[in-house]
Amino acid sequence: MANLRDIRNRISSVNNTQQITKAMKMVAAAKLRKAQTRMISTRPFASKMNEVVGKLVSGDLSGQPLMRSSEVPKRVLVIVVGSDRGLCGAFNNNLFKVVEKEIQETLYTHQKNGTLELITIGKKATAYFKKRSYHIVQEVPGFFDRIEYEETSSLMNGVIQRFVAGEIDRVHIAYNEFKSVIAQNRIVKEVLPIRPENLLMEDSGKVETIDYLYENEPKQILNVLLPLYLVMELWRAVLESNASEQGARMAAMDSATENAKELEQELRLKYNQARQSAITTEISEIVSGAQALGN
Amino acid sequence: MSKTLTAQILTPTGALFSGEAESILVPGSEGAFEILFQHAPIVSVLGIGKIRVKKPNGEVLLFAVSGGFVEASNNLVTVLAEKATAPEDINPEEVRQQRSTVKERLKETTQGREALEKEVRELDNLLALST
Repeated sequence: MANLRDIRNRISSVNNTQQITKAMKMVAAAKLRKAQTRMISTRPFASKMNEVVGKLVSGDLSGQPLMRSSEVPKRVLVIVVGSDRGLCGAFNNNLFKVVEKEIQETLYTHQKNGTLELITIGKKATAYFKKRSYHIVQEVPGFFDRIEYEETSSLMNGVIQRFVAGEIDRVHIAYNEFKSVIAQNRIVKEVLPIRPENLLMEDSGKVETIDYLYENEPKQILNVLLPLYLVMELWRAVLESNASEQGARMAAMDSATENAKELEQELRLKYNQARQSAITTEISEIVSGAQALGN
Repeated sequence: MSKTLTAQILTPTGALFSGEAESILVPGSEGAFEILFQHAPIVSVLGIGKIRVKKPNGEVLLFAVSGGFVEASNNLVTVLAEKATAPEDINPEEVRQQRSTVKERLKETTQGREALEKEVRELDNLLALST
């Protein structure tokens, strides 16, 4: 039978852990709410922009540098959106596995020839892919402590510049999409070159064509709009990922708290058993001692 | 019938203004113009400058913007600004400091001057509105 004091120590340490995980769950819940409001507040902007882009794209599209698609892409860039902090369950690993699988399946030759480039957002993503010696061209540590639109836009604009210059031919974004607090969708999506059919909305059939007065040439407007559209894609991915991360952390911490509770109960039972048997032994010793005296 | 239009000023991080307006002045890239009731449908790219919203009760709201575009049809005006700030959110001290650091960097580098110059213009725009 384990020592009474040992068990007591273990109970108090489990208790401490439980308090920590509980607090972390609360923090994650608060951050999740913030992340969700953030996500929702970008929606009107994004939907309006998609609407206008959809209207403009139905016109002449030739010569848009961002739509240049090459049959055999030479250099491919993948932007992986991970997280900065751990303790969020399999949030990062699941995504990275999907990314690796995608690379194995469709981008294998690029990986072999060294023409596959990665941009990793979040420390965890950087660490994972660095360890597996992928070619990381840019890493963004600590992004999720700030979450700034400006940073996102300058990152994406850098990518756009390289695409226009012909240095890269295809860009994917990999991120966790927020499905619900406990569930994420892992998405690997091609964002560059822009495919016109993606821009036309599903309900574009019913969009009435308005005869707009254009201050600028439609082409010029598209030159401004399309980069903005891409920045928004990344911005949305980052926000979705952030919300998912907090959700995943909440779920992970919740189950950790549950486990700690279970463990504590088990230990308490053991403790009581040990205590009881110690008392029983003591009493029987006293009784037998008294009997010995009485005789 | 009231002759007002519905205006929205949206940024990637949220809505800055949403409501009725009598007129709305926007800094188009080819020059500023004002959208009034019954304006023809229009799409324009925005430059750096200010938005002035006149509300039906005579109140005037100003915003500093940079980048993005404006779309108007059926008396519904939507400004999608990449960056937009209300004057009360501008801290002149901070902006001045930022401006001088950008100027410093502009002196030293030859690469990416355009972006830095644009930043200076944006900060100037903020300063002009902060008073």
